[in-house]
Amino acid sequence: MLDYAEPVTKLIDEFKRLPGVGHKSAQRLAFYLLKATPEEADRLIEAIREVKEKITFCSICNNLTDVDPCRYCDNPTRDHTMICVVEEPYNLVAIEKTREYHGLYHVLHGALSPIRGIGPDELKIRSLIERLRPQDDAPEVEEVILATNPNTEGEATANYLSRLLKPLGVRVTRIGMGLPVGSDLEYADEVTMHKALTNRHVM
Amino acid sequence: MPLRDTEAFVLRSYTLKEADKICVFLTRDAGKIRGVAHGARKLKSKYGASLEPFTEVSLHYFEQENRDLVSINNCEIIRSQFADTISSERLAALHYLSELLMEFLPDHEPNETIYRLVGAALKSLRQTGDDPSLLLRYCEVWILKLAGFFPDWRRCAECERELPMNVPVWLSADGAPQCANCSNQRGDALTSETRMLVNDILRMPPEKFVAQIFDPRALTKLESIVARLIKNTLERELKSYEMLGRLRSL
Ligand SMILES: [Zn+2]
Ligand SMILES: [Zn+2]
Repeated sequence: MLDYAEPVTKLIDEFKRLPGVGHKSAQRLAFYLLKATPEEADRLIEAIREVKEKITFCSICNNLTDVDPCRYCDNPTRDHTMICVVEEPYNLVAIEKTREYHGLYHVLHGALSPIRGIGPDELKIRSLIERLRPQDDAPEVEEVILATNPNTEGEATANYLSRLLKPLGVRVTRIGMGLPVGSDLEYADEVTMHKALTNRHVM
Repeated sequence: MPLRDTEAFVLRSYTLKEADKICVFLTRDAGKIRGVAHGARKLKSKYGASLEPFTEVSLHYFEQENRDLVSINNCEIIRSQFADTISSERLAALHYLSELLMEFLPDHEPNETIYRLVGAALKSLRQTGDDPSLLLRYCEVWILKLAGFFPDWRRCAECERELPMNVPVWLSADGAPQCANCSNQRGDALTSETRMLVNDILRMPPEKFVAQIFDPRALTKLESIVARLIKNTLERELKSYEMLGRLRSL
């Protein structure tokens, strides 16, 4: 480390703070930028500055947005009687890619994780409940789809939400769990296979 | 690089880089170890549900020379917690148990008793429904005891005199049991109900223990004694401890 000039070390250290970036990758990124043209570097600086200045959380669904309410919440052609609950903004992108879902979203910004100190108060749950209360100017929400991750924490979060939401008279559904398309039954572990069997449907 | 295989419980897994996970295992043969599971975050990963907390697995791994981290070769499910409904209370109990084991067990020290305790405790967790508190008291006492942090209440820590059930006992600030003489009757007085409770924990298997009914005051007392022992030992509270209370009150 002592071999590099101080500004280079500083840049490497900043990269190392990013998730999934170790020392070697940080070094690679720093040296890429050292070789890049000033214009390329400026574009990166400008892009970072712009997201930090312009992107906020939607005051209704907590999605990342440059306008508030976001383009989903503010879109009259979307189905306002359905809310799909996801853990992170990038999960929403995965659902949008299917082009099958036309309702609204709600981003929790995480899942219950006691070992990391994340309980219900650390998630955007209260604002979800607020959205289910009848409002004069909006159609009533009829269904909440729980699309938290298919792992222990995502399941516990879905079960928690379901117990909380059902008494409010809304239909609560959970996304199906099972085998990834394009895989082979031979390689499925028994838990995934068990979930796939319980979630089977009539043909 | 020798290939090893052993039975193990997954205690925790962290994401590492884009596609990998680091997992902490409680193994039967090698105690607590950490390993890398390459590609475990991918949708079509060969690990599937096997790295979820407290899955019991048959683990095959390579030891890497001069490295603390082992490389996971293969991991097959023996028993999974995921087949049952995972309520938030259950998640909190699993995380608390995992944090206790991660904090109090040394790395690379096999301990058959602890391994069997975890297996039996997970079985009993099914019995307890949404209130696992009895089982958690059971596990706390045993894990602390096996890790050498739960004092023997049957003897005065000062004068080593025996302390039968009918003799009053006081706990000093650091949790050491003392007779009337040595403590000057100062400190935390233990009721015989609390002492009986710990006695029962130490002589009953978990499935029998969680089927009993105990004095709620003794249970609360034991909970606070253990919480203090943990805080004294680690110089902090366990993160999941506070969450147990918050998720219990739902
Ligand atoms: Zn929105
Ligand atoms: Zn004494």
